[in-house]
Amino acid sequence: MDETAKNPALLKLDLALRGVDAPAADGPIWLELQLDADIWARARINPDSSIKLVRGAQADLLREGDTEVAVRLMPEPEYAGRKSRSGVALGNIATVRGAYAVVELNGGCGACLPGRVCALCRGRELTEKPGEMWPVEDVVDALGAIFKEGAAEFVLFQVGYLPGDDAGLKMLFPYIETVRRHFDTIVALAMHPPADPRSIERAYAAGVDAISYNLEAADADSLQTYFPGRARFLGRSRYFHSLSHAAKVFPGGAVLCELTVGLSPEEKIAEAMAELTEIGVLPILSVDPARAQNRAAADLVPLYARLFNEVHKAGLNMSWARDLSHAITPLEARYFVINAPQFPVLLHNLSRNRIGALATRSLAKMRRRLRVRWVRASFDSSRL
Amino acid sequence: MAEDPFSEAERRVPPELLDVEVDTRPLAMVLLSRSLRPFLLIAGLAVFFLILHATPPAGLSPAGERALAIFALCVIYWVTGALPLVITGLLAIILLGICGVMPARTAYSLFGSEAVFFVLAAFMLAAAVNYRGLGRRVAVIVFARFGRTSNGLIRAIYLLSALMSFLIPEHAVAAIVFPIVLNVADSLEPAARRTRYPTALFLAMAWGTNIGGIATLLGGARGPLALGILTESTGVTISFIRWSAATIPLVALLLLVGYLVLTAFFAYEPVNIDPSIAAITRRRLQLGRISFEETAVAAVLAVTVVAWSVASQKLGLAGIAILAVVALFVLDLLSWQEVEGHVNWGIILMYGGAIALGSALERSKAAAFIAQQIAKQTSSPTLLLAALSLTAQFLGETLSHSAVVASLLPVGLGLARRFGLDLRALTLAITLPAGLTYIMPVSTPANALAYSGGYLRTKDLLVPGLILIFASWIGLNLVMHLYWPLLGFGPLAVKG
Repeated sequence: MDETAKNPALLKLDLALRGVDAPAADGPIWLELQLDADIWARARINPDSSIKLVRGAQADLLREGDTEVAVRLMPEPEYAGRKSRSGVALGNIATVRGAYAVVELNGGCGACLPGRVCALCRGRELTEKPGEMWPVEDVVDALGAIFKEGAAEFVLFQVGYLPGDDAGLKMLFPYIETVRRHFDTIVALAMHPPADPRSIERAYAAGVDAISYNLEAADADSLQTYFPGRARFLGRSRYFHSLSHAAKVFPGGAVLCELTVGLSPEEKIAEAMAELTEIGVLPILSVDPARAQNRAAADLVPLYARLFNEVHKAGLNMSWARDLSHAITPLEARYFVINAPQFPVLLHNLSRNRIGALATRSLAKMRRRLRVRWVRASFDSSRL
Repeated sequence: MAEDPFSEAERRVPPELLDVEVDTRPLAMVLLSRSLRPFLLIAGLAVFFLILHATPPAGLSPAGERALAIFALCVIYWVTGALPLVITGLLAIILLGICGVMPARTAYSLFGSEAVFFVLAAFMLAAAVNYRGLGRRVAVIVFARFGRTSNGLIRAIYLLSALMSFLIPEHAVAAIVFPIVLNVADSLEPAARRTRYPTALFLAMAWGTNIGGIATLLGGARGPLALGILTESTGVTISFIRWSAATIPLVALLLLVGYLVLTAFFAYEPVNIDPSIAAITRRRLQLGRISFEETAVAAVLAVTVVAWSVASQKLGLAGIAILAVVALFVLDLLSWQEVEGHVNWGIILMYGGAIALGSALERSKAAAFIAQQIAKQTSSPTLLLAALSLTAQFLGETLSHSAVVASLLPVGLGLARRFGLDLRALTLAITLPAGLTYIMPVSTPANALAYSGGYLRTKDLLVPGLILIFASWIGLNLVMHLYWPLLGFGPLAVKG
């Protein structure tokens, strides 16, 4: 861990690959850690890992051999055990990952976040029991408790398969609208790509600030292998089609696509990253530890360096993808590049403090007000 | 690709398809266009008061001057979109009374024009076609039957969109055909999607709909509006059958030219459409057997069209249309809730205002005065018709077609009288090109939907679109001078 101790992004990658040896007891099987340079990391508890978590009175440490790195283990939030007004444990409704309060609707979907994929992606019968669509009031309760506790800054809706040409967006509107009404925050949405591209406009108009259609498997063969339903019912092309359309609607850098290391050969991931940045989409790289366990973090450095370089070459704003614990963002990937340009870091730092965050939110709102036109209010656009 | 579980088996007409627009122009341009609005509002008012308080020039009565001031205000707001069209229309009605151009009671009574009720009933008929699934069934069956080759599929989409627009408004046709075309395009293999073929599919829908939409009074609401202004202002009218007889040769010519442009620019290489055929076949299977409701709606529509053709002089266009709507309700083929969701009530209000304003310009002789001023600049009626039709054609690309008709027709009618032109020919010369739009996404709902498919870029449409614009203009002028005289309304024969 000598090298990784000096490089927080490499440590994050290492933790994603190898996990951490920590006393589990009845606690969670995943730990949320804050590393140097405010980088969030998510590590599964793995008793076989040579990286050990040592709890200290002053600070927590990650230890491997003689090397130690100070980290901050995020405590289990207090809100989780409390109940919503309808009696559901708030921790079931929303979880904290990185700086995000993640609300999984209909079970969520994602190999790394939330850690399971929906029936559609598995290619199973869609008649099987769907996940929970929490009542809107309960979601507000959970998010209110999280924000009050200061456990998260942003909201991420992780949505599993929902029927309809809009991939279920209509069912999400009440959540988005209510969250916007109650909290001054950034709202991100991860969902399946819709058949009807107009729903992308509607998502933006409704108040979604950043959107992701996560391909995860970078190439068509891997998609077929790991997500037969996605390949069969949606196809890789719908992801690219939707992402490309969303990139024209959302602010630069606010359209994300997660690719998962371990599911596809690295050259295919690199190709997909180039394709994505070309259409204005920000790739982020997560790791499937089960399938990438034979890889050493150092072997993956060129791939992650390419992540930064591709995004930087495309001139995309890197600040929207931030504070994610389960994936390495392009900005974090700068640690894999020698003499990385500092301008993206400067921009990012500007948006981190209280005033910067307020400015980011206000600019996002102003952009929406300027760009969105609700034509239902008049019939001008019908051009009759 | 397997069956898409996101496709709704019973897809309803999605009025919400038009509910949000995201302006993707550079932010500076968006800011500029947004900040222009207050200036435009003030400019409109300034022009209004300037004309209102100026000494009337010789040949213009005080009432005519006031009508002109209201007309100028409305044209500025309609053309620039500073206010919603409907609000400007309502403003016109109340200003006519307030400024004393005509008694308020008269202005409000012009709201009861037959054209308004005709448009209302046409929307209701279209609602039945959509909600009962007749339109979708016809589209799927025609695509399955005739779309077996790449160009065959283009032809099927193109011609069916055009033919359906003969009977139901363009925006309803586009809403029916668009989901099927989107499904067909998305089903293509990646190699085929990278060609210009998907662009051709969407353009076939948009251009077919727009060209077909001028064939009858049912294709777009601008036709009934023009008829309303013509009738209320001059007492002259055009029957349903004569309107169609005048337009159909032009439509046939433009469909041919449009198809040649489409294949030359976008569908010049054959592509494998087997996955698309499979997608259409699946949709056809989903439809099942034709239902009683679909058959009944088809029957009502057929009887209505026959009645319009043979009995519109006696019963009136609106009368027949409303009888058809009553029949739909008697047969329980339409609910009021569906009507409320489908009818564009705003257009009904706007039409009242536009028709009243047109009538006021005519009655106060303000239209004649403007015509007199323009007539000083030219002495050739042929040139004048060509200029008016070209203006309507280009304005239609960016403005509401109704706004184009409402702005140009009252002045055009004055000019027609001045030059001794046939008023019906003049009405058609302005109304038809206003609907023939080929490039801009904002020009028609069909174009907006075609763009929303994600395969079209304005720059790809510029050259073929301009070719079609000029072909349409030349075609219209040829038909106007060579064919319309055979129908008895050659432009140079005075009527009314």
